[in-house]
Amino acid sequence: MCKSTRFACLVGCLFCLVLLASTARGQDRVFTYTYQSTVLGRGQRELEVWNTFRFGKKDYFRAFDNRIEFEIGLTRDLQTAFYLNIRNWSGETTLSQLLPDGMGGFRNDQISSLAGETELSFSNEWKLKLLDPIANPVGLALYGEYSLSSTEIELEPRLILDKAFGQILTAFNAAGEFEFETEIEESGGEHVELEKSLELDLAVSVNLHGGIFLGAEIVNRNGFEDGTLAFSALFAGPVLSYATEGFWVNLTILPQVTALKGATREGLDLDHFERLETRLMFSYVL
Amino acid sequence: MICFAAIAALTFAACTSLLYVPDERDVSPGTTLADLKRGRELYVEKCGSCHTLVLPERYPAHEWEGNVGRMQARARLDTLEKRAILQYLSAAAASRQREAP
Repeated sequence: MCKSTRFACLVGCLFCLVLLASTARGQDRVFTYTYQSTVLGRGQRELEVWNTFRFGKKDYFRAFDNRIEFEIGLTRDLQTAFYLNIRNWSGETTLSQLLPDGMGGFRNDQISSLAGETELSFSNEWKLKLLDPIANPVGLALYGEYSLSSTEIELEPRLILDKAFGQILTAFNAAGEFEFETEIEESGGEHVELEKSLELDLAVSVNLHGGIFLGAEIVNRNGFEDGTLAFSALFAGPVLSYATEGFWVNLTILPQVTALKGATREGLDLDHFERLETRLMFSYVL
Repeated sequence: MICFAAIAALTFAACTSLLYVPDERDVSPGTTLADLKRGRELYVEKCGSCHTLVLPERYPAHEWEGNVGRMQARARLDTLEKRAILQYLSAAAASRQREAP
């Protein structure tokens, strides 16, 4: 049995064995990558700030993704949110430069250089709660988000399942991502490229004391090309959450554990993904 | 990827609701089964919209009085709704205690 299958089966056994009967404490969100089915009540408002730091590709790479989210409950089961997104990355790139070769000619040298980009975008999400994680056998919500930038339109549908077992919260998400990106051709024309990916998230967290939760998140990211799976990687790491009246903060540290397809170095995919990412989220009730 | 999703789906498929469903044994003078079911609906709707629900057996009846009282304004409960929720929580907590070994 390969390493990734053993890891997945171990995680599955862990989830199946955890069924306690003690009581749960209420808190809106205890994970950062994995969504839960709860929505804000009608008229309730929250301001959330997301900070994601990513680094470690095959060459030098650093990225910061920041999101400011204004969230509002519209009805008992429906909420919407508006985001301002700022994405900044810096990475090593290779430039070609013609230099004199000392013999009257030129040589083509490859020179490493630092490149970077900052991108602003807007997002809008809609979340519909269908089932409650305690009142019903399982919590269920449907989620849809679109994002707009100067070069890209992104659509993200997501299926959310969650369940509370006493002091333990678990959640599972299946999220599709469709990116329509404008590319400039060498001839000067432009065309739109469609990139498709699928993300599966699985998370569990235990209420340690009061508003403190400690758990783990597992993220499986998959990229598709020409309708087939082209690359896939598994990430897993701890998540810590603290909530008090009117405020909560969550932190996840998420290293790439293994490439399931398309490994490039040390069993990881460092072409499409990073070695490590970490996300800090905090929220204020308005 | 398929193994990952299948394990998650099977885990969730095995779940049942943990929130007590009232029956005839919970009926007392001044309270009908319909009242208790209404109380459960209101608890899920009003309280579950803001936070993960707390199971009724977590607190005795007199503590629920204080908890719901503190949340009344935030949950926008009128007097009748508050009373219905408290009736349900008290009955559910008492029932769970009877069932406990």
